[in-house]
Amino acid sequence: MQTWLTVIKQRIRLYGSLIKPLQTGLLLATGLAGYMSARCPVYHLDSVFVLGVSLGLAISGSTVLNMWWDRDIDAKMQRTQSRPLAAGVLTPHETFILGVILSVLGVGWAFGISTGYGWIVFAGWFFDVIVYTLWLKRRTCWSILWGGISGGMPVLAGRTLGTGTIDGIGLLLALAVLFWIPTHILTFSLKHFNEYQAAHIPTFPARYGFRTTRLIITISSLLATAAITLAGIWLGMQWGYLRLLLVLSAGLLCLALIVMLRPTERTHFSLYKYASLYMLSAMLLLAL
Amino acid sequence: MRAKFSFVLPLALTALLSAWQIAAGHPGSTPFATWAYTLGFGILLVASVWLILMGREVLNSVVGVWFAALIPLSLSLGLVNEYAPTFTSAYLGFILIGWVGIAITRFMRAHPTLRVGAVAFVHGVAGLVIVGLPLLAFALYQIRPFILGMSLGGAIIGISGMILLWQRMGRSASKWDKWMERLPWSLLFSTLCLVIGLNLR
Repeated sequence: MQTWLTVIKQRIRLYGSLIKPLQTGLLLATGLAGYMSARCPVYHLDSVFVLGVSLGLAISGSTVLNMWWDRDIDAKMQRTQSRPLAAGVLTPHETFILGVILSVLGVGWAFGISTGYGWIVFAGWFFDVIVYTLWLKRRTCWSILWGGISGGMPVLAGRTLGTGTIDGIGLLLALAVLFWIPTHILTFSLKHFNEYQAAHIPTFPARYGFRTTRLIITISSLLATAAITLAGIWLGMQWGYLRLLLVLSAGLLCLALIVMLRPTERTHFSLYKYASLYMLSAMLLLAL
Repeated sequence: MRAKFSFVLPLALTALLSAWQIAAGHPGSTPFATWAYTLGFGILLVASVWLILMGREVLNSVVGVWFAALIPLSLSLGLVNEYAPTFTSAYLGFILIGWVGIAITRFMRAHPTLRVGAVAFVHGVAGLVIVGLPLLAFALYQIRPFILGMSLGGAIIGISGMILLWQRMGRSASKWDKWMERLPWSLLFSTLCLVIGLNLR
């Protein structure tokens, strides 16, 4: 009995690391914020719950399948070598089955809740697993655009479930996430440039140089903050929250400018972290 | 290098306190004063987060010092607008000239005395305004004594800024490290004083 419990606990811990809890949590937060920007969660706790579970399962499923497909890349990079699949602790077959089960449950449940919501969740899964991971990631650095579109789907799905239709605010929020993704991913590819090179993954710094990549980061930060602020204004956000959003946006823009003008390893890392914190805070403010 | 908990905690609390103050607004203040306070607390918020992420690199940067100067400048501008509104335009002019002056002396790599002098003068005037105006307001108008929190908070921020500047000029690594350990707590305490002063006056 004790042995079985230990084995189950160990498996859950390993599966937990496969779904990249921080990344999945952040995307899930955007989905919940999208819903809460349309409806008060207190009076719709059941909807918030099913949204959270279905979206969480779908995002986790696509992340696990991404891990399964990229296990050879992970094994080559020092940063990811210790991941359970790359380290050989989990088998590819087991991981694949887990990814498929989570995906089917998540996307299936989403269709069960609402057809429109289901299609958007499916689109997010499709763009991430099929277009980004399987098709483009090893071919072109522009694959992150599709990763960005996929990343924008949770907030659009949440908003659509809340309003019952795809509206301008939902699209603007999805656009904000799409523009935010380069800040997040490109900063990461600058920081781990050598590892990506060793794994033969095409990246913007390798294709267009560091200077252009930093310029793209700054422009995408500007566009992301503009889209989120516009969405906030359109939503009729309270003045106090809007002021706070503007301050946080200014912080992101200034940091992107610093990275462009005086790049160091520390500023790259700081921008990467600040961008995540910014997105989480912005979504929280939109949900309030 | 992972930042120490005792370094991160006060900075995180400073950021949260500043965020709350920005979102809650300043009941009774004019829109101009509200934006001035928002700028001051906004820089406190962003600076706290950056300090957590980047540590001393923020303070080593010329741009960092230039932006940090806006904290006392904007807070004092808000106070002038509220308690000495007739001087708002003149003081705004002083702030703009002073801030540009700091930039010119910093970015043009002027003589160290001129650089320190520009920051010390502009910080000094702003510090006197933040400390003096609430005292004056308390003495002249029927305002609750909590407003003196602004004087205390402003004084701590002003003194911190000066010490930081002198430490940088002296380039004594050991003193600089000691000061860096205390800076987060002094930021938290001054922010707390400012928030109390603004909200309970």
